[in-house]
Amino acid sequence: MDSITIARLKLFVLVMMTVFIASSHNLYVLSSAIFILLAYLVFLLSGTQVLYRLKPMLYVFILILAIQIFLNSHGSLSIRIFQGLSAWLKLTTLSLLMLAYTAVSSVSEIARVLSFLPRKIQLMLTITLSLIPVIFKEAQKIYMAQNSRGYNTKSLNMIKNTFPIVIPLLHRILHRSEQIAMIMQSRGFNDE
Amino acid sequence: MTSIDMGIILKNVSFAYGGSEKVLKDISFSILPGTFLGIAGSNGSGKSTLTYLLNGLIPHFIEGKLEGEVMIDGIATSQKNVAYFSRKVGMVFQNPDFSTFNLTVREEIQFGLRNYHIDEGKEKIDRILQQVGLEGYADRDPQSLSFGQKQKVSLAAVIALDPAYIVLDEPSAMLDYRSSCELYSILRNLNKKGNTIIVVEHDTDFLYQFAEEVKVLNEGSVVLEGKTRDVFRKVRILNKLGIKIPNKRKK
Ligand SMILES: Nc1ncnc2c1ncn2[C@@H]1O[C@H](COP(=O)(O)OP(=O)(O)O)[C@@H](O)[C@H]1O
Ligand SMILES: [Mg+2]
Repeated sequence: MDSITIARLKLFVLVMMTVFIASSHNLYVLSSAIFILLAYLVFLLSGTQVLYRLKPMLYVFILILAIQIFLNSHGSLSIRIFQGLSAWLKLTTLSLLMLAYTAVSSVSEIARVLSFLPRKIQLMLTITLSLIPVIFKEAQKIYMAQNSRGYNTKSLNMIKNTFPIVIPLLHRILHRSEQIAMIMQSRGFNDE
Repeated sequence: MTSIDMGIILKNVSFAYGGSEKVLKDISFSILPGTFLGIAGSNGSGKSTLTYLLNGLIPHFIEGKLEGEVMIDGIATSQKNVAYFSRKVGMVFQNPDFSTFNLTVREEIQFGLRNYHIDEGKEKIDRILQQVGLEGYADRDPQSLSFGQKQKVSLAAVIALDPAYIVLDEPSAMLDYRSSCELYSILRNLNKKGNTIIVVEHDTDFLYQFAEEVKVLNEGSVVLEGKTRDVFRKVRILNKLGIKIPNKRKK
């Protein structure tokens, strides 16, 4: 199989799995999807990187549950919790799925599979997708830098905790995506 | 096209990034084919900005106000897109950590070749990797390499497109001495084969050893230019600009 076929196949699998997960309500199916993805990712990347990806999902979990319990008034409590749980499992699975896809696909590969789209959109999508693993690495670096300068992350205030990480992270991501765009153009990637 | 048109010509070029004051001020010079040109200057003097002019990133990609004209082999950079000029002018950017974005060294090189529909066969890639001293690295992940090796990968990706001019922005900045020497001897070989080399460099020792001509930028203007030996003889001015006098014994 040539590389473009493999690249298309990967994207196809990604789309199919996304559709499947997004439309599935079966907790067993979702849980096993998460389990398989986790095993695959730990094998592919490292335990810490995967843990890092899962950490924000914990906040999302609390958030969804809180909404289901306190703000949603349709149905019984157990049904609402069930709905919240399945929504959370879905998000987590999709998040891991994206991580798995970007970990095995390079920018040029993604660019080639998306070549049917207009060049500008292709450029944007390609950069965005290729930035996903970078974002997590960068966030980890900033987190460590903040910690080594005595920033206390043990406090429970979530907003206060994430703010000093998110701002420099955004700055770096913007800088980095601009750099990638410049390099891609300098190697003949035409956006017209 | 007459031979008079060949080369890179800047005519009264000024540039200001969106909303801020001029970063380059009324710069005029020409770079003849085959030259090994060094560009020195303290931080913030506009060296990187100057490199963005040389393949059309300014004005096509970077926003701001450009005055004057940049001509590459007789064609103004405003006339065609970045992809057109990148075939003639290869760029190696400053931060080697940000310069690679593919999963393997091979793909890094293939990316440009595919954009220009150039043959991307194994032999071609092996030959280019050999040229930069990275034989056997085709299947490695660029992110796992050292700074020096990443810089070589970027250079290989550029060489693959066979540009007449090669521009490098502070290539030695994050490299150890030995990797820098290796990189410069690759550049010297390319120059001997006819490539024009334009290198922004803060380490004047390398410029003294390798560059034929040097231009010194200060606050957006060219304040010194000429043959390398003549420029570095102006010790008083260089001291005032805060530029290191090269250690001549190394020659
Ligand atoms: N993208 C940008 N937007 C606004 N100002 C910039 C940008 N890039 C550089 N500058 C400013 O332009 C000046 C020259 O920068 P640069 O060309 O990077 O200098 P050098 O490479 O010599 O250090 C600096 O004052 C810098 O702050
Ligand atoms: Mg610079």
